[in-house]
Amino acid sequence: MITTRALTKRYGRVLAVNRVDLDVREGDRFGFLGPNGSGKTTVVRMLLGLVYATSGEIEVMGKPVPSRVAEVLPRIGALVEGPSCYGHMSGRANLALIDASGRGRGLRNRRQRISEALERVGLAGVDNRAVKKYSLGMRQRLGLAAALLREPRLLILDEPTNGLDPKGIREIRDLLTELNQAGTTVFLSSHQLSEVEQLCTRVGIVDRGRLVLQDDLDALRAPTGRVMVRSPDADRAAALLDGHLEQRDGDRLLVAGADPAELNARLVAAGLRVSEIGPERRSLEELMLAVTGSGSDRIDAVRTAVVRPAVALAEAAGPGGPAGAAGPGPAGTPAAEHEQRGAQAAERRSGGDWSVEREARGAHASDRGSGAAQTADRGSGGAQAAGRGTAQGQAGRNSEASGPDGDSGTDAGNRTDAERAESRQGAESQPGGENTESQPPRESQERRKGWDSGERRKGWEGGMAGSALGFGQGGKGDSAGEGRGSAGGEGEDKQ
Amino acid sequence: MIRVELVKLVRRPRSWVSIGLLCGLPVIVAVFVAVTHLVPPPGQGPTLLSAVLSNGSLYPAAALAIVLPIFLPVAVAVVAGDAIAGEAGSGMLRYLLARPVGRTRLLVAKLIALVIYTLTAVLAVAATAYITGKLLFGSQPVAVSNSGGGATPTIIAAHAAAASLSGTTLTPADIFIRTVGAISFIGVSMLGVGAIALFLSTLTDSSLGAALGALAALVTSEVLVTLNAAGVINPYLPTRYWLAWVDFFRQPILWRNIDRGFAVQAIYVVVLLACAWANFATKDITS
Repeated sequence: MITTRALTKRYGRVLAVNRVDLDVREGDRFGFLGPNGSGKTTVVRMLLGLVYATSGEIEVMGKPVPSRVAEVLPRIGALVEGPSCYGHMSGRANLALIDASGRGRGLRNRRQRISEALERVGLAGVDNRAVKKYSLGMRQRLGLAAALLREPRLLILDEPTNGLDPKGIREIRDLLTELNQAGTTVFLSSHQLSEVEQLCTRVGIVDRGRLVLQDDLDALRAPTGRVMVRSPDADRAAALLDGHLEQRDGDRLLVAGADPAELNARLVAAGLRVSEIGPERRSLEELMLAVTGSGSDRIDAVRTAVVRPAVALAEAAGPGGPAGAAGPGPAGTPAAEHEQRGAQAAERRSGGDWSVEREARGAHASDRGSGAAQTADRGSGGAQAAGRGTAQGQAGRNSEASGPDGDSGTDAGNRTDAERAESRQGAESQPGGENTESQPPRESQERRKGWDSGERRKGWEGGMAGSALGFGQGGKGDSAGEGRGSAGGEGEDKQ
Repeated sequence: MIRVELVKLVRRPRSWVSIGLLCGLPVIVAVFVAVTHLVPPPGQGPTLLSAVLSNGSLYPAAALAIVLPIFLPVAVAVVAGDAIAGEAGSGMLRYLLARPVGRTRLLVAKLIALVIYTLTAVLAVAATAYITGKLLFGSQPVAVSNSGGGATPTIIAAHAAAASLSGTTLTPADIFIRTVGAISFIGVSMLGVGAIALFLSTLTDSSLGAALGALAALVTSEVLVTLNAAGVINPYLPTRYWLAWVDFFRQPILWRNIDRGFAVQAIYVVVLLACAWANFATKDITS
């Protein structure tokens, strides 16, 4: 029904959609999920021929888009980024006008089709008041009615339940299910997990422009192979299951590789009470959080890290070079790491509510790598930003290579899960072109003023260079990146 | 699609309010002139106004001269600026294009609606002014000036007023034909304004921005027309020949500036519409 191959859209330097291969089959109820700003709407607009792809192919109902989009659009009902109408006209007049626009069926059964569409979305009794007096929910229903006017074979809906109350959401869900059973393919773009979870049969998850996952919902929510047990006698159960117990959270135990029935029998035989038992399933929410970063609607104060490109390493060792940079550096030593975290926490706090997630992410990603630089920097006041940027570039490289499901933290085995996730986020912003931004320390802010993006760009390349060195080498790589970054910082100071 | 665009235009209160205001201003002027019999001294104030006192059937021309400098361009720029940007701003553009309405078709439909609006506005002004003139000033034979060659339009008015001695007399049929000529000339000039605004309308999602941009272009042109230092580009400015339609009321008609005016406007219209089309047809619709 919808096939895209390596679909890419670039707006200037921002890569909005990055090589997306969608595959929506006839009869699917396809949920297109992603955080805000992850490129969902851009994909939808490209499917409808509103936005032209930078590269890649789209095929909708067997016709190439946008070259022959006019042939398929009459059979598509669309709701893109909320409904729109002419506010000074009534709902019916709006539908009539939309229906009259473009080629297609004429006046004959227009009235009837409008009435049917209004009835389907629950606006049958709507009067002649102007649409501008409608509530948000009514407009949403009207937008849906417009999409349903010509009995589409494919419905492309972007956030169709926006502004509806729970009952309305339920109605729309039932309506979509009913239409789907009558043969309409539904492509539903949303960031509301519950909506997708309850309606869709297949999901695609997009994050920062990339399709990170596409599969049947049932397959995604298949049992993980672990069994979840809840027991008031958790302590004794844990002791009994020693070896198989994977995780414990209060009275909640996760047991590896067991059959729930058998496990239950075993626990009960041992005289333990079981209040809840069953195979563990990943919820869509867990899945989503695992594969995506935070949405782009969260805009944190971005301070740019500027790194000079590969300045000769020798320079770092030259006179006046920061003490830490010349040596192997205390990267990864517990003390350095500790300090680094403390500094981050302080910076986050000072950022207030709109605190600095992106940069914090970057900082996290570069946590270990920059630790040394930062420590060293306390004295030299120059190289800190550089070290961080470099280390971030490196982290980015790592996780980029390891893929969306991969673990970017492999070079830092003792990181916590959260840290890993965050470093991946920082990393995956790399293809988006925003990667040069990280979190340089305050004291060097003045120094950065007036630096142009060209230099930042170089900095990023420098970071990449550092990362190329460091990639795959674990802790060693960190040191390399750091050393180079410090050198860069030093170079700037001389400027 | 053209029909749909016309329906939108007709059902839009703004269309009628703007035309009403356009017609209202000459009526107000006519009432004051008729009551006081005070007209601007020949050579000052609105063109042809001084000639109106003796013959009301010249009033349509005078009325157009009153609305031409500001009112009419504003109305046209607002409607044309709203054409694409308005749809984009209200979010309807994406739904129209997904309907599907071809982008070229939509642009053509908007253009035709714009032309019809412009003609309606000009004709409405002329018609109300004719009625007003007949009622308030009556009609006597008109004497127009012999063409004075390089005379500026405002001086023509002076001639017209003082021409009862030396000017030729125009028959009502003559006045009618000349008025039709003037109306079509003004219509084409306004189409030039519309083309500027329509092009800007494809560039932005703000109809206000597009309309103001077109007006800014006109003001710039007006300033440069009066500036001797800008003499090099003077003949190519969009407003340079705007008042050339007054030449229709000379005897014989002085075609030189009229022809040039038509030519300049035609070039602006063609070039800007081509730009509008090229931009709109390849644009990413992100509104």
